Amino acid sequence: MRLTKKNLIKKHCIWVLLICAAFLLQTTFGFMPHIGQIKILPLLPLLSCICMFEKEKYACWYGLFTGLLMDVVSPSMVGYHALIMMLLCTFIGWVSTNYWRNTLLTNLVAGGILIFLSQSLYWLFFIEFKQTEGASGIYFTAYLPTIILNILLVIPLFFPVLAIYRKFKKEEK
Amino acid sequence: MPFYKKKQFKAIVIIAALLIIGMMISAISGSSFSPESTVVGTIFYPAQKLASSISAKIVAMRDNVSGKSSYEEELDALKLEVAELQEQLVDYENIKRENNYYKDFLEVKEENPDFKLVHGAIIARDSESQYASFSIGVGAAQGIRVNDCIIYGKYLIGLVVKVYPTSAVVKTILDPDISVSCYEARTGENSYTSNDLTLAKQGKLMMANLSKDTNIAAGGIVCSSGVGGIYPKDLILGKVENTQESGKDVSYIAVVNPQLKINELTDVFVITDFEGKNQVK
Repeated sequence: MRLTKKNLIKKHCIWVLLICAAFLLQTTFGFMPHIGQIKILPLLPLLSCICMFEKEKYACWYGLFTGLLMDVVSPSMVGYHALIMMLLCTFIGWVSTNYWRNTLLTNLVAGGILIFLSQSLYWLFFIEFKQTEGASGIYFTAYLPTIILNILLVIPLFFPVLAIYRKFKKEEK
Repeated sequence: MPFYKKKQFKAIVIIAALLIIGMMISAISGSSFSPESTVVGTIFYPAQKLASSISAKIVAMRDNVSGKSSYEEELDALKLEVAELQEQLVDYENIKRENNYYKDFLEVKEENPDFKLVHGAIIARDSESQYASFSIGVGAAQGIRVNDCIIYGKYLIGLVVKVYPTSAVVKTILDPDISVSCYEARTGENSYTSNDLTLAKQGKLMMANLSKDTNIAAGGIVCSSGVGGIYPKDLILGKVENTQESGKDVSYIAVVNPQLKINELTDVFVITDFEGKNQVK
């Protein structure tokens, strides 16, 4: 049973629009609250939820697209986020297709992997390796709390994504 | 049986007698109510209360129907007027802010006629950066190049590090990668800017590598020196808050406060060309 071509395009358009909306919310000043240096980053939890509901070949493209969006506004090396997100999302898509059942718990784990690795690698490459003073401290005061907060954000984002997925599942022929 | 022998007649007589007796008692005692009225009032008080509350509600409903519509019209008209006035106030504040903003840049342009300026709105901020990096809505199509410097009024804000056709990414002066050759206005001491995460978190930066017997003190103004050809001369970096040991070596640092909140800016100017650009002095 497969979706019709029209419904497949619709579903992917919805995912892309959601990613774009989360990206705009995340990068526009004043939309997302923050507690000191602890930031709310809705893009990563949303991306992990979407990739859990897609096969690895689509998850890869979503990761790449999201990474490119992040690269556009980041002063870091061009292509860094695109590569990291693509690899992580491909892994999540592959694991969810072949090994994991798609539940809230597995989405939390997948979100944890994506958010933890993306934030920690960014800290490692662009702060710690540059030997910036205070690098170790900021991981525990800013990055780790941000990681934990955004993993919890998977919970409210999982249900709308599930609802959209189920809507298209019903339309399979 | 004659009527006057019937029970009903007797009952009427008894009641009349009681009423008369009550009236006589109240007349003699001088009170304004009689015993029977007291009894009647006590018995019928709950019913009276209920009736009066129903009556009040009916009256209120009637008044509402007749009077509310006129009050509502008046209220709606006033609300509309308030909304219009608020809109005018917002426009006024925006125009005032823009006016102040352009006044600052006019001063910069008048003092530096060789500057070529391009206005750019801040369109996005990097949520992962600890140094308030942002993107502006002008790019290569508007003549922006890598290493163009960003200013706000007379203040140096940062440097363009990436350029796309219609946007550019800026690293701010809070970033340790951005090192500006600078001097302190009062003492003339030269150095360069640097930073660490602790100061960057507070929105401050440092003037590094000062000698132990530096004369730089709190309140001094730190400006760009123009050495290196990347930043024009005399752009303000901030005000010195204090000097302290660097902690890494024997040198001292001066903590510099940029005097404006870089992560809350909405518009900036890009200096695309100036006299002495790319000329190493």
